[in-house]
Amino acid sequence: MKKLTIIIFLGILAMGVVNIRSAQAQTGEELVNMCSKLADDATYLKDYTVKLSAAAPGEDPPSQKKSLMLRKNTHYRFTICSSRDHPGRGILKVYSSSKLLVSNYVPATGKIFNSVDFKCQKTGPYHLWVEFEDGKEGLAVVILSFVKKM
Amino acid sequence: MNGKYLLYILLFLPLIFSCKSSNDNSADDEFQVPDSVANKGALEVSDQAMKNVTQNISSHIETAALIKNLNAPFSKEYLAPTKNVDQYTTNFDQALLLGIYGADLGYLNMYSKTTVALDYLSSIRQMANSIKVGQFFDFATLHRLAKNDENLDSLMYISQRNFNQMDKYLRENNRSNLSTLMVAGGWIEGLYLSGKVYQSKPDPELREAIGEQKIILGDLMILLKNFRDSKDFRELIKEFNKIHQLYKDVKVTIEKGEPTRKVVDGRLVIKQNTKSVVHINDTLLNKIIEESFRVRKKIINQ
Repeated sequence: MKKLTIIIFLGILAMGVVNIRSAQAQTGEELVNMCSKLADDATYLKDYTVKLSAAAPGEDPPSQKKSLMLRKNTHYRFTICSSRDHPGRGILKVYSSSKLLVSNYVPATGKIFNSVDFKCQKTGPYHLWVEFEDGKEGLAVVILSFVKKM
Repeated sequence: MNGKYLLYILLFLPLIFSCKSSNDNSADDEFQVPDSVANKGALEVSDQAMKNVTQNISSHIETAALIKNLNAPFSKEYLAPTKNVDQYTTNFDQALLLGIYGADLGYLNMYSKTTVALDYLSSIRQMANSIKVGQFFDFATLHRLAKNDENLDSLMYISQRNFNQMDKYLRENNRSNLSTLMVAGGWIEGLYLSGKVYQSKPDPELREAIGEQKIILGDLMILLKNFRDSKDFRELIKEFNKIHQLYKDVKVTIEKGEPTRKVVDGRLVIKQNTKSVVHINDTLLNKIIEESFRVRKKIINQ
């Protein structure tokens, strides 16, 4: 009887651990809600969730591309939030044609900003690339928000 | 022996619980999609290419913000009527109207017209339920926020996010035809609102915004033509093509410049110095506006 009680106790404990772990794991949805708040006074427009595995040794960091349409005379904000459950810190890069225009990563200082503002002067398609620092595995959400018309 | 079996059962229980909880948000299991709603036939443009084109084609908030920024007065007359919402009985019409009402909701939210917005929330819910994406539209919260005239930021966030979720779900579940119709509806309503405001308050910025739709319409036509196997789509393409033909005479030139970067209050700010410039004369602008009015009227069957 004592043995049975211990078994039941261990089983309940195991269930509790699994449920607490799943409750604490940060979902993409939670990241979107949290990250949109970090965009401050800007108005949410779109969100992009990116999940990438770690780079294989000697290979370039994996990245994912999203396309978006931006408009002239508009002040946008890109905010990136990386999941605490994964080691990678997200880096975003925005290209117009093949020219890099915007990034939250400054190579000269090695600083990674949480958000970067973009004052757009050309209406057209842009390409958003997301990768993780040092090719680590990661999950990140990018929020595109509208600050104001210029 | 009995204790051993019990141990196995207890060890597997957490797995059962964890699997159930991970499926709680899966809309696939809860909403069966009838065949009539799914894409038919092979797509000419691949799904990947479609994803590249569709993102952020038509932003309800940006158009409404531009209009409000001009200090143009709010007019309820500009909005698509909601009284005959029951007349839209096909998924084709319902998806188009969902896009139109979405653009109107953006306009209403921007002007904080929450009382009028209640009607539009109801119509949006009806259209969204009809095309089986109602699960992404948080009507109860939006209705409460609008009714109590509280937290407009949340109202804008939730409504915009809900529309994005509907769009994403449709695209990921072999129903990009309906997603495209939502985009087309939102686009024509945005052009209609811009045209109406321009007629009452001609402003160079609005004029340019209408002219630069040439670039956006180009992408939209690619999306629409992907579904030209459908008779309804062919009809819609024919109408949109009339606007597209007019836009061919709009010229967009590019003035090149190097971007500048600076840190303002701890935030990195990048200013683009390459500029797009729209060249459009009054006659052409008025033709585009009038044609967009005609197409929009035909869609809403007013």
